[in-house]
Amino acid sequence: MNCQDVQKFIHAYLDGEFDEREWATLAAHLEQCSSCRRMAEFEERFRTALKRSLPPVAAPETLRASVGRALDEAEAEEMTPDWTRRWAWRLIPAAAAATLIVAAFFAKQRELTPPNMLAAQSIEWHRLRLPMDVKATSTEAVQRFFSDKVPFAVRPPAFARQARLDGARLANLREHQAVYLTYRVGDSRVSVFIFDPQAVPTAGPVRRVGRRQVYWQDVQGYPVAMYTSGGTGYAVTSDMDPERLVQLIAHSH
Amino acid sequence: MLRLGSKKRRQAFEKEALPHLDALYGMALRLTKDEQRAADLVQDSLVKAYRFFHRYEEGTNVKAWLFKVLVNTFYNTCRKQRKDVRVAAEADTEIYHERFLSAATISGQRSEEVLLDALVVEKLREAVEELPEEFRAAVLLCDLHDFSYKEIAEILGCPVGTVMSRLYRGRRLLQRRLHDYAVEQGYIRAAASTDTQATASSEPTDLEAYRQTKGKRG
Repeated sequence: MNCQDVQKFIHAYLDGEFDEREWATLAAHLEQCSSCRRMAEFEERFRTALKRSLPPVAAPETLRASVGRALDEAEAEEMTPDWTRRWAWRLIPAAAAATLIVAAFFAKQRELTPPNMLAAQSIEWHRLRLPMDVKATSTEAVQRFFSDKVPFAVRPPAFARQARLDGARLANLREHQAVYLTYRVGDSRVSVFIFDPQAVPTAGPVRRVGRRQVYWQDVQGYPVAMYTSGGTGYAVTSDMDPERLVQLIAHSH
Repeated sequence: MLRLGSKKRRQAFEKEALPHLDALYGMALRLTKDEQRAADLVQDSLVKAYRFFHRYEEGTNVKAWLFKVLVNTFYNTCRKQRKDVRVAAEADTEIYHERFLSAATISGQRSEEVLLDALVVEKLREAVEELPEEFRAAVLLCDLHDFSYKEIAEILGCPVGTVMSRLYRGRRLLQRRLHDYAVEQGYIRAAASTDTQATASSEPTDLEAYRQTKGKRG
């Protein structure tokens, strides 16, 4: 281990990430290199000061009580599937009875469906903010760019309102090619995967969004909507409020 | 089925999750910098976690998972503040320990004493609160909550290499703050500009990648 390695990994060392052998190599270097030793000592002291500056705090008692109440509510809500409160008004009354049974089934499924690969990757990429292959000036430019690169039609969804296509890049969903797009809607970002629905499975509880049938997953705070339109698969996720995302998708073309 | 299972689930959740309430609140407080918002964030996160709790079995790392839910919920609700990430992304090319160590102390204290001085510690707390969100989250998870790099990667949803880089940059920003403060307060005299040696290459890469290259060399 040389001085540069020590500089690179001094944090890992002090954070206890080194295994025994690495630890010994580094200790040996520090033994004979006074400049690295000074640096290590400084970093260690800095760490001590940092820890001292962040003493543990106790949650207020009122929080404990209010969490208890919130959990009571959550429990009670589960007894009545939540779509009956939020979605019932959208149903055609004649079909309501039959749909209720189906939807109640899905409402239970919602709790039981683990996030699938597509939903998980949507969220991961949404958070990663990778550089784009093409800066979008128009949907046509994006279509042109991908026309000879992926084996399916790339039709970026046209969201209503003030949504602006930001950029696009090639992606892989497992071994299948896909296209990743980002949009900006006001303060929020929207990520979209476009893929071949024959190759990439969508899963999750079904919701009716506008005229679309959408597979909907909530994965640790992020909503992911997956649907097919004109033979193309779409997975849409965003940091915006799920209800706003529903509206956005409902009015997309 | 849900009805029958729900009482047991509630008990299990309370047993597994609620012991981490203080830690979650501590993290939330330092992310939101506001007691009421911190309390709301913890409550929202716990309700969310409760809804997904069936996926977690006893013995798994519930604490890391709860933190993940908390951090995600924070990012989702406080999205507007994320603009500061870009500011921090500019590389900081100076090594602050060099400046600290080579700085002449005025008050006769040594640099380590300056560092551990109560006033500096107080300043450091402020500096942590001012850190850009993503660096702050990494530093808090590591230095306040003692999570491993792997757990932090899981919580923040990024690779370990990114965790290392965020920790490195976050701590460096803190050191810069501290150094400037110490100079300002007359604890130390600014060092004559030290050679800013190739620091770009001292940014940590993924530990695993490093291990592999070392392995090849024997």
